[in-house]
Amino acid sequence: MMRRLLIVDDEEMIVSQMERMFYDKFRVFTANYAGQAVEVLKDGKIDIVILDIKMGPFSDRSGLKVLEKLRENNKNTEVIIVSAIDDQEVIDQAHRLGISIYLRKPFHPNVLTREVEKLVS
Amino acid sequence: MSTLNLNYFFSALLTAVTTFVLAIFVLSRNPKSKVYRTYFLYTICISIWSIQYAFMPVVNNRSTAELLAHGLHYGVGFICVFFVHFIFNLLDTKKSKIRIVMWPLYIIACLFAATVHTEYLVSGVTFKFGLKYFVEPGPLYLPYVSFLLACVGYGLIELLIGYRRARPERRNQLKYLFYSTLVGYIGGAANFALVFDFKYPFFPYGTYAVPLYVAIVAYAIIPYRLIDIKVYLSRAIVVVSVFLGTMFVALWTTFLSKRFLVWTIGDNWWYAPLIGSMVLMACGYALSLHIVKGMDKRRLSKLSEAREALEISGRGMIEIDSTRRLARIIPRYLTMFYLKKLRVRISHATIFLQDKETGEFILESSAGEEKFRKGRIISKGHPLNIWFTEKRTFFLDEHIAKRHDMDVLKYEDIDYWMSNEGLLKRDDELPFLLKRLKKEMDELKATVCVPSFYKNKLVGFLLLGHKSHGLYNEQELDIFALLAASAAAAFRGAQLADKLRETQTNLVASERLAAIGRLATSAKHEINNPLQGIYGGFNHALSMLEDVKDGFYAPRERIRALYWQIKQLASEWEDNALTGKLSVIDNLLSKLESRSESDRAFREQLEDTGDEISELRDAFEELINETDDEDVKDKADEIAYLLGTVTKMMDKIRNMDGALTGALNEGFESAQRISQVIDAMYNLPKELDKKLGPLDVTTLINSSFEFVKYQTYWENLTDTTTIIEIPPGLPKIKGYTNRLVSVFSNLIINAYQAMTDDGVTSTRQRIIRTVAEVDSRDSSFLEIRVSNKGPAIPEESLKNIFEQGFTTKEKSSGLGLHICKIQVEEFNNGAISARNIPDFGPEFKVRLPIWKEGVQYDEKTSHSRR
Repeated sequence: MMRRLLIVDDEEMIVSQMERMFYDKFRVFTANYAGQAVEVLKDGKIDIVILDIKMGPFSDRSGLKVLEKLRENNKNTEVIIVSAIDDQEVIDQAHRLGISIYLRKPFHPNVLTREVEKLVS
Repeated sequence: MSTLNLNYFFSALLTAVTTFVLAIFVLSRNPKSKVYRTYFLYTICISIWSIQYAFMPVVNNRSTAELLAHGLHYGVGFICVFFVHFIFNLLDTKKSKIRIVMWPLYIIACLFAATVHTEYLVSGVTFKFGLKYFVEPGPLYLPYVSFLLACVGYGLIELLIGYRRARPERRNQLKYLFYSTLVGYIGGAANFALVFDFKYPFFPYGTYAVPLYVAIVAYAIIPYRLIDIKVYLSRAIVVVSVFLGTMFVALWTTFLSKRFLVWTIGDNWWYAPLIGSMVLMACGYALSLHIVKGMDKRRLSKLSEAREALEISGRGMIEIDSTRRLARIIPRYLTMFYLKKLRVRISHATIFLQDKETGEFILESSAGEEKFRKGRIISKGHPLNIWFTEKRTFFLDEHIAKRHDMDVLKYEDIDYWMSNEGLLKRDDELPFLLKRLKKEMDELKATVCVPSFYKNKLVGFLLLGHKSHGLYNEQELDIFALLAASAAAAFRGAQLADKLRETQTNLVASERLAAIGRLATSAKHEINNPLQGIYGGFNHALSMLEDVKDGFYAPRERIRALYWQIKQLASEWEDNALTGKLSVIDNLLSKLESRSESDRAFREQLEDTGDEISELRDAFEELINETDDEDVKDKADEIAYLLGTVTKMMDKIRNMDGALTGALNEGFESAQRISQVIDAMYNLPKELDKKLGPLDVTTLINSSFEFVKYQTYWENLTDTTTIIEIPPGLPKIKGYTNRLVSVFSNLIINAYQAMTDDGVTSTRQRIIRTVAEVDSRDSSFLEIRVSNKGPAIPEESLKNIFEQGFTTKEKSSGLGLHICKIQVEEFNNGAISARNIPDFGPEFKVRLPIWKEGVQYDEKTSHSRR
């Protein structure tokens, strides 16, 4: 069975770009906001999550909430954070919850591809 | 009785009565005080002497006169010895010295006392100088008198020595004592001259000096809660003059009218002058009261004017909303006020204010000839603090003193408390505290200490030195207490206003940094997301171009792999009509392969065709060289050129993917550059530094310049020559990075704007110079100076340039440099100043402490702690 990949980002363009990158290797699911992501993650079948943090106005950190929720039920799902937030506190918190890597936007798409390949292998 | 005898009798009687009354009065003030006890004994002896002395010349028989003549010498013998003891106690002489001196004196006095009723001392009485009975000396009289005079002389010398060593206001007290003693003893001891048959010049008025002397001594030793000596004296003069006047009138009238009275009334003629004298005395008393009242009224009106003036000032103080200004004003005002209104100099007036955080009292300001320098501290454990916070309440609670008495602490009060043994026994700590208190008041040269309470909390002290003349009287102390109360309220208000201003400025300072931080965070996020989009888009386009170039080889292979997976799944699934239709993917793959083949064939054909066209062009060019026909040449040339254009277009078509790749790469690289710029710009301070650290000056200055570049947009410092002179190996400074970056970037921008506002546009003329070096006067500090070439700052502006609200620009808040000052001085424990460099321009100098290894810094206050 094809592995399942969930892409969570409020920027539609970024979601579709990432989807293009992985659609041939993964069964790709997408979500534009935290609630949507939590719904998809409920059944526990997602293997890898590419997760943005700020998906709302001002100091929104809903991505971290999604991660928290995910970790309550599933320690194994691999998570790659992709975010423009540079706050060390946020980075530390994400690592504490358990992520593979924190990619700061903007990054070269090949970097993401490489990280995902690492997880798959 | 003759007038002379009457005079003599009266003067001695007055002495006896006055001294007796004063002796009792003084002892009653504090029976346990050594000073008061010796004063009592001293004065009682004078009383014993004078009462007998009064009656001696006027009694009717010789034997009584002789009895009195002997008896009065008991008093005399001990007067001088008690005088010495009294002086010793007054001057707080060491007990050992007192014992060594007084024991022999008392023994000698006792020995002489033993001879009083013998003929060795007083041989008898005789008529002398118009006095009916007067002392006739025995052989021991001269040594006796010498002993007495020696005692007096010794006492006066001790008094003189004590005067020299004493504090200024104590000196006044001792001065009165010295001169009045001289006068008193000259007056009193002049009677000894009569014993030796010498009639002194002011005979018989010498004895009048004695009650006056005794009264002055009483005044001098009782704490100055009574009125000023001038007032006292003037009142005394009035009373005595009126009394004497009425006495004189009574006596003279009696003398003149005696015959008439004897003739009209007979033997009881003396009733008339007696009643008359009593009436006169009553009138005299009323008159003296009236005069004294008038004097008091005039004096009090002057004082009440002064009091009103001080009260108005006190109310006015509330209007001052700066603690520093208020603290500066009060001492100056007091010293000037005393000088101008009351024509009195105060040696100093000094204010200490409490630092809310540490609880210590810090000298805020001092005025007067003996003023103190700022920086002195009264710690929490200082006796003054303990006195006002603990002991004052103790005194009030235990009803030892009234509230009014405890409003103000006077130096002489300490002596008073120290001599009160009953009080000292009630509190074990009190004796030691009082000693320390006295010592501290000495050190602070304070005569009076006025505490300032606000809502029962001590907020400060006002210390006053001695007055050039006179002593602080009751009314003045009341005024000070009033002033202190108003001051406390005013200080509280001013402190709150200060705090508010500080908070506001801190808020502005912090808010600016925080605002930049917030903007940075938000902007960065908003820019980086679309940048990610650009990256993704360009990358995808490049990848697609690759695919096109190699005939979709990679997608084809991928589809093949997916097809295999699908077939795997389908093979496990039997009898399904749909799985049979999966062969459509085979078709797709074949079409893609054939398309790829045909594309490849197309490209090859294009390549070949392109080469053919190139060869054709070359052939036409050769034709140009080979033919002589001009027409042919022209046409061949034209065709060759056009074929060259076709070749170029072919190249373009052939290299379409290369061109596209190049264009996409350019876009990709531009996105990367934007990302770098954003990073560089917004990786600068995002949050306030919480840690105090060692800072490298070069990094600090460079960061400040970086910060500036992005603030000045198109006109960033590119047209400006920036000279940075930071020697290698310069020690690190102690400070908060972000705050200092904001300071230096502010200075750099100011420098830049000063040059551009001026209209100076030539590159050569725009210069910003930054120099850093260790302070030559204090190697624990470093100086960083930022200067620009341009017009000097006007001298008047230089004084106020760091003040809140000061600006010369129209749209400026005037907070920039003020905030810099706060950042440097309050947070980084440094100093900032401005000056003009001749022939160059303005320079701002920032002094910052050098970081010391091994020292732990208290981050809140930025002071070092070991």
